[in-house]
Amino acid sequence: METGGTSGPDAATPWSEAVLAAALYAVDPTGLGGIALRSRAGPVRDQWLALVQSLLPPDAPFRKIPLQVSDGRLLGGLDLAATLQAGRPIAERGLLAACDGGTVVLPSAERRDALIVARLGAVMDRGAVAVERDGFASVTASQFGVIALDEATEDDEQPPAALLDRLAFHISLDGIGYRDADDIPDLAADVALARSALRTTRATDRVMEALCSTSLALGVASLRAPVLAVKVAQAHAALCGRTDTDNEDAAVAARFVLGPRASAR
Amino acid sequence: MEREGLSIRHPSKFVLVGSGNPEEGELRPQLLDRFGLSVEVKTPGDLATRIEVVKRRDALERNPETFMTEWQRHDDGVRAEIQAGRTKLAAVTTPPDMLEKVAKLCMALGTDGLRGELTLIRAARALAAFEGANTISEANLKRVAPLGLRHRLRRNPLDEAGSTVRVERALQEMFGGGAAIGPTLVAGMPERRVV
Repeated sequence: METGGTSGPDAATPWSEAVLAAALYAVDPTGLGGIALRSRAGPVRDQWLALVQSLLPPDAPFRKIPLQVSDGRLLGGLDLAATLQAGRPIAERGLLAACDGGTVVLPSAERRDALIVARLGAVMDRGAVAVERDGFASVTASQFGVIALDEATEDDEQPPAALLDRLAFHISLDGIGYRDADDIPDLAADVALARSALRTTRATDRVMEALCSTSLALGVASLRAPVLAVKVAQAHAALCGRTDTDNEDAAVAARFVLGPRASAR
Repeated sequence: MEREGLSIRHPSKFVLVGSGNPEEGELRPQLLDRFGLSVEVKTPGDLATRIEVVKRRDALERNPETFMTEWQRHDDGVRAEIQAGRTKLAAVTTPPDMLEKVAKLCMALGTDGLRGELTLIRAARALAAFEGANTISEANLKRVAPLGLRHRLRRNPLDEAGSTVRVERALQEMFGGGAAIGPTLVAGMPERRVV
């Protein structure tokens, strides 16, 4: 993988880590759940979001969920106006169904209540939006990744645990200056290649076992953590053009997925 | 139903399955008591089980159809065993001393009412039938006791231990020796590798 001539773990800076997380996410957005991004609104965050979007397929939806969103808007339901006009029930597609194959951006993630996170989590787990309301029921397949924008200014504020648990990456852009964020390697072609190679990239038993024992040793109780770590290792292997995961992939996975979860307790 | 001048009785027998997140609060005791059995679902804490979970999850996502077909066979096997147990159920006898043991266990734990005893006997009988036995054994009783009793205990301010632990402790005191048998995630599943 090229990272603008300064590749290699020695040269890792907070910005290059954020870039790597973006690239790995873009390789497998639905599998990796998404990214919790701690950062105040600003040019660095905009730069990073633009980078993520540029690495995703051009036709993939990339949509924000507003802070005040009704269940009808989020999950879909009965389109009242259209129903009255037509004289028969007309379904309205919700935001989450419209994001199939794409990315859901959740601003102010630290202020979201448990209810919306429960709805989001249910859709992520099932890979489909199940609606049973307004007297009708439907199931619409929808798989997406989530970028949770954590704009907290206090340390004790953070997005709901049920959301964080489902997102592979917990990264922070705090302390990165605009000039550091200028270095944007051209990864789009590598990422696209890795995305198509992912199906044939295998996680070896050794890597799976190592990530499981590391997560247990770090006191990470959730089983989603090792599952996500294995997928990060697979995405990294694909990005590096390997068909089997090796030690480096496992190390990257542990650093991104297990490290932040260990220090959180 | 007795309302609006009507008085009708409809037969209605069903199984109630409730799920609850303990972090959102506990159910009231009079409601809890109505549930026959209670299971606690927890994240497994031992490495081997966790590795198995991660591997199976990977296998599922890699090839959903193969995974489903593979495990369908296993599920069909369990279903057949359950069906066989169902036909056997009526023939399973309950020795009088087993009734006494159940009553003693419930008294030792101070469970309210008699639903605990009744459920425990039914559950032990079902397990015996499932295993193809003619009569309830002590092992059957030990196995189902945590399932049937853990949600019927009163909170004891002097005992910090969880209710499952308290049931197991009471079992140990009554029957002595032998590690308590708590069902785990993969208990009863055959050793099988899914690739």
